Amino acid sequence: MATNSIRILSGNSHPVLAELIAKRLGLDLSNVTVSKYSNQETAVTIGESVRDEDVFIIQSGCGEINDHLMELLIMINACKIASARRITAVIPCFPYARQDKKDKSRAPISAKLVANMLTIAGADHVITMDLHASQIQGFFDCPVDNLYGEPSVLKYIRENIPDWRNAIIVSPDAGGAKRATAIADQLDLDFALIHKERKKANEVSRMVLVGDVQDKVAILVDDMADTCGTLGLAATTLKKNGAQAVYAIVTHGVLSGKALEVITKSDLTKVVVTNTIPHASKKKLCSKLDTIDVSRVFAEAIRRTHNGESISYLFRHIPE
Amino acid sequence: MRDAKVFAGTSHPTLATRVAQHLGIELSPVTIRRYSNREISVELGCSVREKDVYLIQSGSSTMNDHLMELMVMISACQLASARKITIVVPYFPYSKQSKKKKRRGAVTAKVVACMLCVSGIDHIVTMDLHSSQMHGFFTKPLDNLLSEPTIVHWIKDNVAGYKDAVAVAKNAGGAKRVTSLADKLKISFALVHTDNANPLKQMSRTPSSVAMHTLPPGLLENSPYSSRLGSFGIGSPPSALAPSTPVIPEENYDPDADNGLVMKALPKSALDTQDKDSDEESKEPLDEAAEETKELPNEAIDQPKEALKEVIEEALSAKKILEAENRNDELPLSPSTLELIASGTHLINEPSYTQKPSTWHKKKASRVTLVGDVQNKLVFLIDDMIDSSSSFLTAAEHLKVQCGAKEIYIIAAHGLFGGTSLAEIELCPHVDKVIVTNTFPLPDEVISKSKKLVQIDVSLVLSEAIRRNHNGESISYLFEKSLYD
Repeated sequence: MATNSIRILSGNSHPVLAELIAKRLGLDLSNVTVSKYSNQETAVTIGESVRDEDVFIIQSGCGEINDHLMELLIMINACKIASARRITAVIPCFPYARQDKKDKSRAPISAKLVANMLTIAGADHVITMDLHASQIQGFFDCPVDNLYGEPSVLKYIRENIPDWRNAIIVSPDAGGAKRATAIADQLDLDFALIHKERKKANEVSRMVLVGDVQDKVAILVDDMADTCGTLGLAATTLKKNGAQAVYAIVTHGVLSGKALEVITKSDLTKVVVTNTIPHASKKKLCSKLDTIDVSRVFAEAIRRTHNGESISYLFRHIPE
Repeated sequence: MRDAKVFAGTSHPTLATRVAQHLGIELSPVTIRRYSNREISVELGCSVREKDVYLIQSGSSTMNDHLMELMVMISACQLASARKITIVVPYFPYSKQSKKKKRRGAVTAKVVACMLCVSGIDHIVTMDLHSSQMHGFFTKPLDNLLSEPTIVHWIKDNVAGYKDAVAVAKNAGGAKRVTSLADKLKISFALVHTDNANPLKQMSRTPSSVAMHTLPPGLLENSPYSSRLGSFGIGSPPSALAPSTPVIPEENYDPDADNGLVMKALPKSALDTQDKDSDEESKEPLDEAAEETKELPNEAIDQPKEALKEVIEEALSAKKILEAENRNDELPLSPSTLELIASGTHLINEPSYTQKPSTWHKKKASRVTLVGDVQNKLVFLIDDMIDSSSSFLTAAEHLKVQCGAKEIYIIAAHGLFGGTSLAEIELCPHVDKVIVTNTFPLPDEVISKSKKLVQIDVSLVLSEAIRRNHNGESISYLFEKSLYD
């Protein structure tokens, strides 16, 4: 039995990241053709044998999110049917992760649905990063490795933000307070929180800063930036409260809708996102964007998973 | 209610009776027996064929037994051809373990959810889940009721100056829950953060910080006593209590002193918000086990103030009596089982601070920070549950002594009060009231002894949820409005 065989497959969602990961592993991406029939159905052809191989399929949840999810499911199933030994779905940004709870009456828990679909399709293992809520791990019946962007973020702050020792970590909403405190603790910095206050009924919610940012470099941290409305407002609030400069560091930069416009016009000095979602074209349009490369984290996680080594090192460290 | 039967498990008879009263029906008869080998046997006392069955069972201090009991009851109902089985679990057991917190940790809440679904339930009614994402662990519909409207209603009725109060989150993780309550009451919000990442550096940096020495991680595992003690299933051995009790005369809060063994340690678990949850493991100390504990060498027990010792002993004896009652005629765990656990597998009861003080050489300190302003204000210190009290007391002390809070009310949905935490709160001069709901059963002795404890009754919410479920009405009204209006 071939024991040391590994195949890396990439979907169409984020070929650049897949290339980077494969390159770090010293491998070529396997040959896969993904096409669409005229009725918009997705068709997948795996171009080489995966029989008894350890297969890793890299597909992020971004852009045409439903098409990419379907593509991933079909690829997993294709490998399953083609007798792959183990199929690991590497999903840098987990789709539908924000729909993880019944926050309103009759709301669906779509993250659970996606988890079920992946398991049914045939995924034996899932690797992802900064799940919106880590409880999503429990939605799966197969092992899930939730990698953290935090070590990469810490490294970025230390290396790229001048005067970071005079910084303060700010969470743009109450739900993210824990993430912000974790980063603040590790950098030995103070932290603050922005709270959308609704003191009177029907009053437009107003942002209240809890904590002191006077003359400090404020670093907003969050797991996801979509339209960036909250970040923009938060930046304004922080500036009003005397912050010297406002950075925003976000793991998943969806940056949809008017995000770029909002960022350009806002008080944000810089918006830093990781490359779990492709944003090269957006970077050309907005000079305030900056990237943290997390391909090495995924590459190392794949290597360790394949070799049966512990992943937990990656929760605190960045592989060299 | 037509075609409905309501059964109660043995975990929380008071609440079950009240729920039945509100529904205007009697609890259906069920015989629950324990065999001498501690297996549970259930016999339903009436026919449930083609009936809608509601089983009321909360988590409790003997969590695992009651969970098993619930599953046996579910299975019994299913075998007896019940049409629909709904379980009403006011405090969902293991709900704190809803994510993989540590490396190689388990998502135990998911396991419990799976077990219940497999047993044959059709619907779950619960209250204030630790994380609402737990919804997704079930393959059956779940109603996560909220205690918030009831608590808000209680505050408006019973706290005169609530409009000038500040809602303070005890940790960053609960900030969202607290902001929601603050919005409902239209009051300000603040947050207490306990920072234990780079503690020694910070001690000198912030003069206002309260520094505490805590156990270094890993000590528990290495201690020769931990496995032994743990294997006997002692919730809080007397020797362990002394150093964990944060009711400390102020002069003892000296971060620089090295030799003060008394009261120095706030357990690591107490400061780490994620860690305080595993008390469920076993709180049924056997008599012989308790004796074992006393024989253990432990200098710490000699040191605490006499008053404190008395209270703790009192609380412990009360606990023992209670547990003796609970156990009734059951046989204790056989020693062989205990030996099994003791070898290799460390069953550690957190908080269990059974180290000899001499092993506290690697000192770790923590800094408590308040983000926000509470000067001269009434403070509602809020979390979703209160089990061990130390993190609450550390926060309360910081709020009152360093930040000038006027009064402090601790508010939590689930009052578990593991070990002697209620006695500790009772003694703490910084806490003025503890407000919890009655989702979790507390012994009457404990309730009557505490002057600060207020239990808000939520049986009406549960019964209304059952009624609406049974009649196919919407539940969402209960998320916003208090039924006591």
